[in-house]
Amino acid sequence: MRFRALPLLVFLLLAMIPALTQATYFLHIFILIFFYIALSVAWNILSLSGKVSLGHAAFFGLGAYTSTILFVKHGVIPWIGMFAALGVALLGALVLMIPLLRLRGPMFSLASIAFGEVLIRIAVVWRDMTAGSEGMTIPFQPGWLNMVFKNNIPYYYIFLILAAISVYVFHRIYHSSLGHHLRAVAADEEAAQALGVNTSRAQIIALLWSAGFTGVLGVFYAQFVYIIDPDFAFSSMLFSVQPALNGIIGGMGTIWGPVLGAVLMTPLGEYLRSYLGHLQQGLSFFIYGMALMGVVMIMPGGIISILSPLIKRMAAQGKIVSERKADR
Amino acid sequence: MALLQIDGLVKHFGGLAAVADMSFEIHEGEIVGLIGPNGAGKTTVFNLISGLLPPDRGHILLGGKDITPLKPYIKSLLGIGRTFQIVRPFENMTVLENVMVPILARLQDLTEARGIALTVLQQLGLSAQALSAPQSLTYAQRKRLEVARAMATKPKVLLLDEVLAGLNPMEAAEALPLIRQIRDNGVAIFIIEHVMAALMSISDRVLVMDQGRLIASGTPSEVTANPLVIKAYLGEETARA
Repeated sequence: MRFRALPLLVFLLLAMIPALTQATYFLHIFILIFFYIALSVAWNILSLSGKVSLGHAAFFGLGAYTSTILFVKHGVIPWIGMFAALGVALLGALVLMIPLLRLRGPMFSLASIAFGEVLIRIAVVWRDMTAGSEGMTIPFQPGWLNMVFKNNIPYYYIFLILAAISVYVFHRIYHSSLGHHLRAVAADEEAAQALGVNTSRAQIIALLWSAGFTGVLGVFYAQFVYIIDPDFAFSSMLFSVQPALNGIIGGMGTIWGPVLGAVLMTPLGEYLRSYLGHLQQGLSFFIYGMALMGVVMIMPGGIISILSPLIKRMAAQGKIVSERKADR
Repeated sequence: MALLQIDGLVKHFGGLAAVADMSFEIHEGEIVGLIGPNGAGKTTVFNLISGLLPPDRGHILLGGKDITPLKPYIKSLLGIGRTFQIVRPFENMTVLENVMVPILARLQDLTEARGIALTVLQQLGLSAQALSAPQSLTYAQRKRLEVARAMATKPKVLLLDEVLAGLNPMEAAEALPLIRQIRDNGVAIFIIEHVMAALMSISDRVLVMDQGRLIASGTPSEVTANPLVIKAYLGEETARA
């Protein structure tokens, strides 16, 4: 549709980076940024309807465990295992989160926190299936088929593509009929209903997209880190709070907000952890918290909201131009 | 047969009977006014008809079919349109997108929906604001956006909750032909209004509510001459005098 050229250009530039440098740490940071873009955008599909989930680690962990168990115990390659992971994540969403969708505002967020925590306990106790708190290690047999690689470059491309797919899918949803319904629900659920919008259905579909995408990301990330254990796979901080933070700081319910959030917060988080982590335990979280409070107080619409007057003007002009074209 | 038939409608809030046993009918092509002092229960009647509140007792029939227990969105799809007294635009969307929401609840095609929305906006004189944010509209324009959205649901019955309130006399005078035009397009209109002169001039019939009950109904001139109505509005002494 409109101003498609710029994202495509950025994508191509990013695709060339491994040709210029292969410094491991440098690529590692980029991989994390791409991963968090995808995770935050996936989270944002649900928050398009105004629901702030703090429980997406549940879907992430379900996806990660499903494919890893299939791979390690039954030799099912992750490219196939990811479909099972998708199914389990969707099932998790149906069972765990749909009953909560009727809760509004902070009540939904608070209730959603519980899921990851419950699943950690289950994964620890269900040793036959998950190997308990020892965790599971993906065998090092490099190759595209096994999605295991000797260096970071294939992961760089995998996560770059995942990030691009997430943004594209979100863009499509945002401008679709569903996207209009979700945005209406976020603004005023009752008014949306009075206009004929099946608000429950719209939110369920958004949740399934969001949870399914998050579960599939769990598959890829598990392959990337080799080892998963309950505390990691269902980590509330890493996979529930972080994508929500990125989304809120960047701009919830917008196309580019969570992308911006992930691009800013991921390197900041890495920097704080590596340089401040040994000074004082928890100092990085403190600075993180301050950043969140600052953004929420100064610009409740996220960083994108101060950039958006400019972007809106560009988009509006694009729209008028395309409509004039359509008229001819 | 009545287009909209309300039969023995009752709604209590705690011990208070907001709506106590109301029955009335609205026919095709009619403009029916609903008046009454503050707190008479007028907006509650709208909320019951549109399904945002479930009634304690009674039935709502649209075209002879009982739609009482249906969800608000289904009632909207069946032809009950409404506006809100306090305008409720989706502030995260453009004016055009606001109007596209109800259309996209009925058809999937974006281009088609955009076309219909633009036509509706044109009818209401909001074409120039199509790509603006609702926050940038004047109060009168926001009221019209509220009507535009309700119109885009293609209602059989349109419930207008104080769409003239807060408009200056000139803006209100501009709005009246618009309401007539909506009726002439085949939509029955049920309208709550405090601007008495305006309401009396466009209504075919007027229903008067007081303390949850229907105390009078008839043509505007019949109603304004009714002692019960004068009493409800002005109190006992004046009515006797």
